[in-house]
Amino acid sequence: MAMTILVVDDSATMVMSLETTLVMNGFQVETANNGQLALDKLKGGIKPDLILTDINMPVMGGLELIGKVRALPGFRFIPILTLTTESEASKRTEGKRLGATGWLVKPIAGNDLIKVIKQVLPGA
Amino acid sequence: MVRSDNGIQNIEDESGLMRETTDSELARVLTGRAEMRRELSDSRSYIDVMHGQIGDSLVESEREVLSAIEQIGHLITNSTQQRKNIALSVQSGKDLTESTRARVESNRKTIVRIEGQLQEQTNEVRSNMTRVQDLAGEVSALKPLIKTITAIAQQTKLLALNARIEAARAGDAGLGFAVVASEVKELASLTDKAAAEISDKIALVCQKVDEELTDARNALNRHESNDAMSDLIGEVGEMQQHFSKNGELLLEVIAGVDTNYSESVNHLSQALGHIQFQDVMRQRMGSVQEALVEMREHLQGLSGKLDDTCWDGQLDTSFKTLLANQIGSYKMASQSATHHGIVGSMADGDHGRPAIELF
Repeated sequence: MAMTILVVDDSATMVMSLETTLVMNGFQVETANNGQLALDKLKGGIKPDLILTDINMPVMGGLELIGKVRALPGFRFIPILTLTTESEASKRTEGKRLGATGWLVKPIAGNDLIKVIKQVLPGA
Repeated sequence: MVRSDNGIQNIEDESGLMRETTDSELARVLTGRAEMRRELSDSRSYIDVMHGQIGDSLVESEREVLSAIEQIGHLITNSTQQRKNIALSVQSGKDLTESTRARVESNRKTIVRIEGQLQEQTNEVRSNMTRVQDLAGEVSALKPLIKTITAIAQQTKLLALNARIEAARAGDAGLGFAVVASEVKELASLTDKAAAEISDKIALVCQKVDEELTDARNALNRHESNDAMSDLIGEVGEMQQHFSKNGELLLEVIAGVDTNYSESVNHLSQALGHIQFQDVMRQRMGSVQEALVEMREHLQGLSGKLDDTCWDGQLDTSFKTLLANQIGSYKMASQSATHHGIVGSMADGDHGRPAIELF
């Protein structure tokens, strides 16, 4: 059965290109346009195998989302990758502290993205 | 600027030194200042237009990129469907080939079985012919007996004739002997007749045996010279080879389709990765738009101050300050690189970490 990835980004082009890339590579995809919508989906029963989130988003950003996801029951160990233009070291450090699995800087080649996802998702 | 009673004023020149100026010079300065204020005020529209151009370009580029991704999505959907269709066709072909190959194999075994049976029949025919040949030999061996019987009959006839002559010569004393001579004559006649019949029967049997022998030989020749079955077995073998090759060809087709699909996925994944430039550009341009708004407000502030006769020349902010503040607002290493490259400053090293980092 295909693994599910929750893509969180406020950019329509990012959501669409990531969804197309991931589906093409055999994953199922759920999407949300900000951290709050992503959190609502998770609380609503969506249980993805991995979360791929932007950092700078309106309403709720990626760092806040990571912290709140880690506090949810059953989401302590789910891999969370950030995919962001944010390259500031302090933000990265904060992401790591909050429980991010990895930090990816946009733009990232499709193959590199799939490689990283397979690295943190054994069996994918 | 300080005005004196004699119409001469003291103004601060570019180097900060106070120098005297006339009313006409003052008028020119005031005119220039008013023109400057208008220009600064008019910069609002100019900057707003540039801001709008950037915004519309971003909207347009996003629309076009989304359309391109949608097209790529259709392409992928079609490719995936085509791949499934080809896989199904190939599977059907493989199934058909496999069932036909099994049928051919079954037919080949049947033919081999028939050939075995035919071989057995041939062996039986050959065995029959041998027996007929033996029989013919034995029948031929009877032919000399005809001469023997005929010779016995002739000798018996001669014996009967001599007996009658001797009986006649003996007169009455030979009457009894004459009866024996007559019986011997009768016996000779019967023997002669029997010899003729036996001869005829033996000749007929010999003829029949020869005919049977000829038929058996012909049948054996026909069986031994019949290559059709061997040809059929050869053809069936070739058919098996063809099916085997077709099976391999189908597997090659599958492998080729899979390879091409994987390569397409690879290229399209790369292409979709490059498309992320739109989001990067959107954020960079968004940052530029924010800077334009700051510049507009700064210029409008300057324009207002030029209207203010009480302005002491102090600035709330400056382009230097705005430029310095920009560095703190950057989120991307590329933004910082551009900034420091132009102003000739050193990056603070905060953006030097790898693009992919797993914790």
